[in-house]
Amino acid sequence: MKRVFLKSAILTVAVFLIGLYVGIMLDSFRLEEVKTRLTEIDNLWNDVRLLQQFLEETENVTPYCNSLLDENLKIGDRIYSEGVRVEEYERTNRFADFLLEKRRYALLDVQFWINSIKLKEMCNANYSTVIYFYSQYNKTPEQRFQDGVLWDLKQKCGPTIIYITFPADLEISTLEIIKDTYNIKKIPSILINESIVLESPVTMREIQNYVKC
Amino acid sequence: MDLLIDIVNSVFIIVGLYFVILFLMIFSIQKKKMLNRPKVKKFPSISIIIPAYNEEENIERTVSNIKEISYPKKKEIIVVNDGSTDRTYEIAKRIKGIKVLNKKNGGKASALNFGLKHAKGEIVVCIDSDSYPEKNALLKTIPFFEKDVASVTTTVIVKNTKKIIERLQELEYIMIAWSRKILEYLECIYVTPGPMSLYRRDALLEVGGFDEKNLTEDIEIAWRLMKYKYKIKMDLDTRVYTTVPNTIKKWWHQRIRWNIGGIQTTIKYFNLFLKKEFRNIGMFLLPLFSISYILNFVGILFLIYVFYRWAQFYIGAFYFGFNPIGPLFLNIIPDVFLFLILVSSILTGIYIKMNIKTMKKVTNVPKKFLDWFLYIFVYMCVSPLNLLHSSFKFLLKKYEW
Repeated sequence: MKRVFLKSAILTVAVFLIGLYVGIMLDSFRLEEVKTRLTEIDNLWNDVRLLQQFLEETENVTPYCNSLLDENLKIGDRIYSEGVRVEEYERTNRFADFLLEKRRYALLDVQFWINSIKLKEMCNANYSTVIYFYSQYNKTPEQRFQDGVLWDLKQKCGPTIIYITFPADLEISTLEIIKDTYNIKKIPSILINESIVLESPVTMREIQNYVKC
Repeated sequence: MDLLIDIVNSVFIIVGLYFVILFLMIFSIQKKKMLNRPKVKKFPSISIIIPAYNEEENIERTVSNIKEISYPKKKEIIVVNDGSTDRTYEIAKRIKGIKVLNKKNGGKASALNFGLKHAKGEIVVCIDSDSYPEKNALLKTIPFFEKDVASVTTTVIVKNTKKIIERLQELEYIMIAWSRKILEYLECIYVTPGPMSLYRRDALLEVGGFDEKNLTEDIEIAWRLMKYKYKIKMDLDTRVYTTVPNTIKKWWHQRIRWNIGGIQTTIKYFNLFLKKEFRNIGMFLLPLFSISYILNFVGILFLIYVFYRWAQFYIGAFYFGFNPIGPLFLNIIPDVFLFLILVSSILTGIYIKMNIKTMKKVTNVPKKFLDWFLYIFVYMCVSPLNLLHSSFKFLLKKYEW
């Protein structure tokens, strides 16, 4: 009977270690899944970007505006839903390193945003862009509220807004320059239509004063 | 904060897993012996002590039930009237063939000690005045008094099961009885329950009788007997039917008394912590009680924190005008903790199943799904709050029997 304590302890440690192993496996599977999905989006994105570049070079954008805008929105939705997925996986992640993929995702977002600005001008589109600069490391209550407000805004407005999220403290030089350009001092902050900067937390009603929804 | 929460979760899971695995392992080794009893060598003389305080409604029925208990020798039945303010003493006096002692009110332990002084039997049986042992209770339990055994406990079964609060206690008592039998194999029975426990009179006198300052004299005496190297046995197949609190208020009050008694006992014997010569108390019971107190408080703090975060988020959602049921709401993604919680739940399910399987041979195990659901997900979850309340009362010294 004395050994039963030791045997139970060994079994407990074994179950716990199996749990850790399963956790590590699940996290690495999810990381691989995110990598694959980002690669897929990257390919789709290159296709749209090159098409647009080609039409720009041949000065033939206007007749293709509608399809370019459609493709851009589709890509935007895909990038957005992938962002939500990355956030979900990151929330439960304990063992894998998602930062590299986060950076990759942020850079993809930057490209998409720049393209959306350009397309809006070229095709005279009427969507609003809502850029959310948040902190990757300091998830304050006000950031949680702002996350909720913007997620809800996107659900309500759908394709009439282009909603992009930037982890502002991932030390990505492009993002640093963007922050400087638009004079973004506080994180979290929201940049609307490349002109209005709102420091969080901002209510749904305040944002709706600036976006077409 | 996230890392701290992960550490707390890990500790909870590891401790929970350890005790479930330990109990299941012991059960798997001992399952065929759970209902066994030794052969009787001799029938010692017996004194039955019934402490009574304001029991005018029960005392006559209790004594007549005890008189009917089979035993080959004459039983000495002693009713100790503990300064009742009702007619308990007068009613008891009218019953023939018993001794009725009268004393000033001093609490159950003092009544038991008073009865012990006057008891002549080699074995002293303490029975609560609202409890009813089965007819063969003595014939079945006496054989357990082998060498070094100072006390024998029995399966306490709830008598009144009409109300939901009573039925939840019924389930709890069933779980407790089985667990106590498992603890017997570790020589760690930490309580000799009041409804019916038998003691070797010499052993009780040697250790100084019941502690009158402790709110749970039945827990304290068990620890003291173990400290004196005595063994305590559990006869799973002997039933005593008892009346349990029938309102939440009474139940809450009873549990506060139990918890404060447990805390008093833990503190009293804390000097034995991790002492090998007192291995059952020092190496098992004290660490178990200490860990459960610590985890209880950490768990409550954790729940308060989670509740605070939820409340903050929902208030924020209302103020900032967004729908709180967002993308991450109730979206369960399998992770290390989900896996470990799943394993723990399966093992706990097996633990409950084994418990029920054994206890079906002893008593009728209720099958109502709602009762089990409420027992596991409400009743057991409320217990930590009661312990918290008990701790405050203990610290503020606001407690009485």
